[in-house]
Amino acid sequence: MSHHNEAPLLEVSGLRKSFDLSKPFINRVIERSERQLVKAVDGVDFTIQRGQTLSLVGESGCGKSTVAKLIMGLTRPSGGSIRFEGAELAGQVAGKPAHVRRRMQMIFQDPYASLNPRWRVARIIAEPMKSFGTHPDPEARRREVDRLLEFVGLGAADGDKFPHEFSGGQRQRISIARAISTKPEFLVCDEPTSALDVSVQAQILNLMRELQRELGLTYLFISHDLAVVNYISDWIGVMYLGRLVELAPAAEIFAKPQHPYTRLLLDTVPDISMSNRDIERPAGEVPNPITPPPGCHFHPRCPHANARCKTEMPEFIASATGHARCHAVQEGRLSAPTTAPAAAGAV
Amino acid sequence: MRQRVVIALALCAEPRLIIADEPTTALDVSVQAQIIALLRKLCKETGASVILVTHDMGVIAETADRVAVMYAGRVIEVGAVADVLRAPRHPYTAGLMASIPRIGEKPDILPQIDGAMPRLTARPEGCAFNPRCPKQMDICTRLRPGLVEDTQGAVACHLFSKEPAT
Ligand SMILES: Nc1ncnc2c1ncn2[C@@H]1O[C@H](COP(=O)(O)OP(=O)(O)OP(=O)(O)O)[C@@H](O)[C@H]1O
Ligand code: SF4
Ligand SMILES: [Mg+2]
Repeated sequence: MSHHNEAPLLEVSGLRKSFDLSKPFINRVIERSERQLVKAVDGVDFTIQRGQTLSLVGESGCGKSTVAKLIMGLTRPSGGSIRFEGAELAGQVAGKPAHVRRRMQMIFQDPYASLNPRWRVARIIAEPMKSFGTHPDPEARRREVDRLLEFVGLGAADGDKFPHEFSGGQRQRISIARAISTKPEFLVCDEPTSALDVSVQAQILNLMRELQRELGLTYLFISHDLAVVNYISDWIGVMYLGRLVELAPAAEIFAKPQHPYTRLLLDTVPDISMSNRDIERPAGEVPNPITPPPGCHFHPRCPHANARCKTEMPEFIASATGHARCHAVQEGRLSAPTTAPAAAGAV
Repeated sequence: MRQRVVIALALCAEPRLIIADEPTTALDVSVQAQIIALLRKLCKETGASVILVTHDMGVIAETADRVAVMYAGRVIEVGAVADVLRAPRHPYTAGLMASIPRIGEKPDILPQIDGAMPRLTARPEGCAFNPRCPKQMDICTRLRPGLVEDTQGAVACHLFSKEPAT
């Protein structure tokens, strides 16, 4: 999927995860209800090269966080494979195998919920070093905590405070310090700036880019904000109802969107230049993931849907810019994409 | 869906004024666009006024006629949306607008406002924004600028005070 010759750091293929929402067997028999499965992730493939950022975008419930949790081993895949530098992680539990897991860390969306409120900041940041045994000596550990605090733009004295003494942006800096404390090479960032306002968001995005340059980090970045993703990414994957529908270099995907859903997303981004204030907005909502539409999941909202789209699932195959999952793209019956305006996503 | 029900309920009483507090924050972009369209249609058809409280500049750009920007508990700039978003006057508004990433632009570093919003119990003397302001002058640390109205709207900043700052 990428044009590099080097082996990718992360390689995800055919990744699947279903959640069983059925009532217990006996209730199903009595009430004659069906089994209910949500295919949260339904066959996702991508690779990330070392030192690069791949972002996943898509509307709420499309499976972005589930992909993140699968990669981190926080939930077990129903199928597919996750290889980190060639080592298979699918099916392994969180934290195992330790020598690989130490090299991967995660930053969560909510900097309020993800820090233990009863722990001082120094203990929060030191926790991964302690559990992975990277700094066995407590004094060396504290010195490292002080260094990390300064590295992310806080002060060594902040280590003695509690999370509630910090603003949202500062807490996200603490999360980042904790995440990089074991010197990971790979960070999964699930909506790290979605709870922050724009001025704080800019600070955190700049910090993440700086860390990437200095430490050579590789990111899987998750967001529903197209402009943020455009700023931070090398590659962008667009998800819809558990499937990747388009994957292409960041520089191209919004300039030359191939898939009708990518085009719809671009059209719906509120535009701060106010140039298309009076245009009609595309209608439709994301369908229920328990009973997704057959064929192409997107067909009920798609202006280009035809009979084939309603029955046959499109394959994820090469497009002009990367990969796309769409019959119309593959049949060449879509008009050339219009160039995106200078729009800003949600802030 | 739930959000639309709430809006429908709010309308039953045929209100003259609707206060919408972050009405689109938890929504998908496509649903968000529909809610924005609904709010605008409503104003046009019923003549109701809306106070929209949000930190989403895109939503403001698409929905509002006028905007009031707040910092540390006070309004610091008021004006027509097009004026404030395209040519912000207060250094805080200017910093906010510059820090928003835009599709089609990819700077090496996003312009950022350094520092953080002060706690309301520890508001700086003078202009509350002065410790973070790139244009800070002497007077800014001593005197709080009032919200001064002019033909374009209003700004609370010594750069725009009628009397030259001394
Ligand atoms: N533990 C779970 N049990 C049952 N269903 C789940 C579970 N976790 C996620 N799901 C379902 O899987 C689908 C994908 O959820 P996921 O959280 O991955 O979406 P997302 O893209 O991260 O959404 P958001 O933008 O709202 O964070 C949703 O339909 C969700 O309801
Ligand atoms: S496969 Fe058909 S329905 Fe799906 S996005 Fe392409 S044209 Fe639309
Ligand atoms: Mg999520």
